[in-house]
Amino acid sequence: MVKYVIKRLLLAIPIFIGITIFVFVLSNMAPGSPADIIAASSGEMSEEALEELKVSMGLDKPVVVRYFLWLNDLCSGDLGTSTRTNQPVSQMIGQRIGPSLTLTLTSVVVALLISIPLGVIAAIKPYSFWDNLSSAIAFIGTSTPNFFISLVLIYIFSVKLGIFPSQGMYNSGEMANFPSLCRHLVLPVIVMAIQMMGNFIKQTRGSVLEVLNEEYIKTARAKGIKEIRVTIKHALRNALIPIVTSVGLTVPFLIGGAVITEQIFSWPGIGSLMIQSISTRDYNAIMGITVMISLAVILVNIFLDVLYSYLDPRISYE
Amino acid sequence: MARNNNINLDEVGYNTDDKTKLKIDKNNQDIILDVKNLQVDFHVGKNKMTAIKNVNFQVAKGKTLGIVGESGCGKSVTANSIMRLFPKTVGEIADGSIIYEGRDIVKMTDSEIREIRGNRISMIFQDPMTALNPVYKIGEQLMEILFAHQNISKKDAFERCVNMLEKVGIPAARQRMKEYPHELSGGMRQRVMIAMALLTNPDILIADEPTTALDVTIQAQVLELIEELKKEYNTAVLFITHDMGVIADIADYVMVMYAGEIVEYDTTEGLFEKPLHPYTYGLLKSIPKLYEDIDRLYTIEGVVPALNEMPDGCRFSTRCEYCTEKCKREKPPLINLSGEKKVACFRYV
Repeated sequence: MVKYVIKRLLLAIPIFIGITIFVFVLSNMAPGSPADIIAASSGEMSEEALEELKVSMGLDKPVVVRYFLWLNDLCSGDLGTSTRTNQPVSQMIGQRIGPSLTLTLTSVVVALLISIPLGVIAAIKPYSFWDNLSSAIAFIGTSTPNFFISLVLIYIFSVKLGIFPSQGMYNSGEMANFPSLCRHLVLPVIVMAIQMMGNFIKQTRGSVLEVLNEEYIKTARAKGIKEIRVTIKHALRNALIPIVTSVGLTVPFLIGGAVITEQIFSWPGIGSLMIQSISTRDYNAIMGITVMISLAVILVNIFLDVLYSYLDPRISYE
Repeated sequence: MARNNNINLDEVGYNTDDKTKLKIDKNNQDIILDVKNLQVDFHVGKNKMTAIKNVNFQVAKGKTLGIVGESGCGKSVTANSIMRLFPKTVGEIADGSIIYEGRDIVKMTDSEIREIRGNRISMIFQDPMTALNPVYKIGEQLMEILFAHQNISKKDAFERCVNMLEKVGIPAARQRMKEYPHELSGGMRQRVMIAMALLTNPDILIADEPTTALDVTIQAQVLELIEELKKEYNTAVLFITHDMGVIADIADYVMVMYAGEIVEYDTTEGLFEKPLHPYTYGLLKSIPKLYEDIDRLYTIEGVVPALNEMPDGCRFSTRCEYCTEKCKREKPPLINLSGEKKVACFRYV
């Protein structure tokens, strides 16, 4: 197993380099450079001064050269400095990753806690009330844009009822405290969980339905054990693999893709940092976030493969 | 013989009652399962299709009843309905009763039937490759049965399972308990299934084509094993197969089913000596024989009609070489002939 993980990690290196090249070139191809942004924000700036600024930022060099300079820095653990805030990129990400993980992990857990039972019930009793309800949730969750759900929730719960706050992690000027965090989490978590649930519910339903037709389920029933045990111990456990895959596939979305939700709820996470960095052509920050997300995706994938072999003893990597 | 042959033609005559019941010796207490007039309907969309009808049979302690017939004749449906193993959404027992120890299984509540399943009546399935849960160890799957039905410690349960595995001929049983199904061969897995079925020393063992998925040498071993264990525990066996050769080997009584109905019933010797129903006759004729020098094997022409295309009269009439106009119009009743023999064909009325 250890050998397998090492092999996978080594294989991940070229993938990782490929991703960084792709993102580096793409972001450099976008019109406007960090120097242009600075020039625009500082009002009038002469052509010469702008050229000088570009040279000082190293933007006069060809993209290929700049990529290798960046890669060289990365190898020594330096993600560079943000051209927008002049902070080290690693420090910026470090500040943002906690809130992002809090939001996304809570959302995944909530989504799973609701979707798996609903999916299982939908599979046991197809076309029942619960099945229809779960279909409706899945349909609404998948097809409604999350900014719309966000605005509806903010309107109802923040503006009209005033139960849950709509901005940030804590009230302004407040020290970090758990109850306040929980209240601030409610709305963004609902938005993100609803979006994921459609996929999870349908995946669970389909997967359990398929497993329930297996012969070993009949064997389990023939043993005289309770139906609930047949469903959970024998069916769900076998149905978990596709569910785990489905959850795994949402990981990139979770880390980078909470962008809109974070933006709407002013959540101080990676997503909102990414939006700011892209709009100011903050190359180093964009690359830093890319590094982080791609590493996370690669590591999660390896973790999932290891998890598969735990879930299904037939899968072995020896 | 557990049952005395108490039927003779003079006494009984030709019983043409539609709900023919197999006559039993009233003094004989060995009948453990009595299936009467069983009918099972399947839901197909909004319609109901009758999968088996008028199925009557009994199984005695220590005896083997073989049920034969081709695919789709209702053998497995019969077996599954004894344990009520199909979900209500798929089908239901529409009529009849299944009497086990004086109680009707058809009328039992879910928790009552659960107490019987795997405990008093157990089942071996066709394909050992798919019948074991791939994600749990053999030991866990075996012990689960004991935990479900008995108040037993984990250690005792483990030992009992090891003993049972040894009994069914699994070497290094202690080691096997800790292995997953995919680590065992097909024959070994079927042995595990048999061990699983016999763990609680059931009154009735239902074997639904237990040898079909195994190769011939393993088949013989498995049959021998079932035979031995049956003798040791005095278990009643309901053996379902489409293989006449296997029936000859293992069964005391044979019930031939066609398209969801019983067409012939007899002792095994009786049936092989003197098959009466044209279908049985055809089945026996299509067994290849060593001493015959023929190019083509005998086959029964045609296929079993679909449930919604069943003829009004005899269900075999579409394929029968002796078919008459009467056969097409009327359904032949299962009539009692001499000895144990019963047949549903107008040729013997």
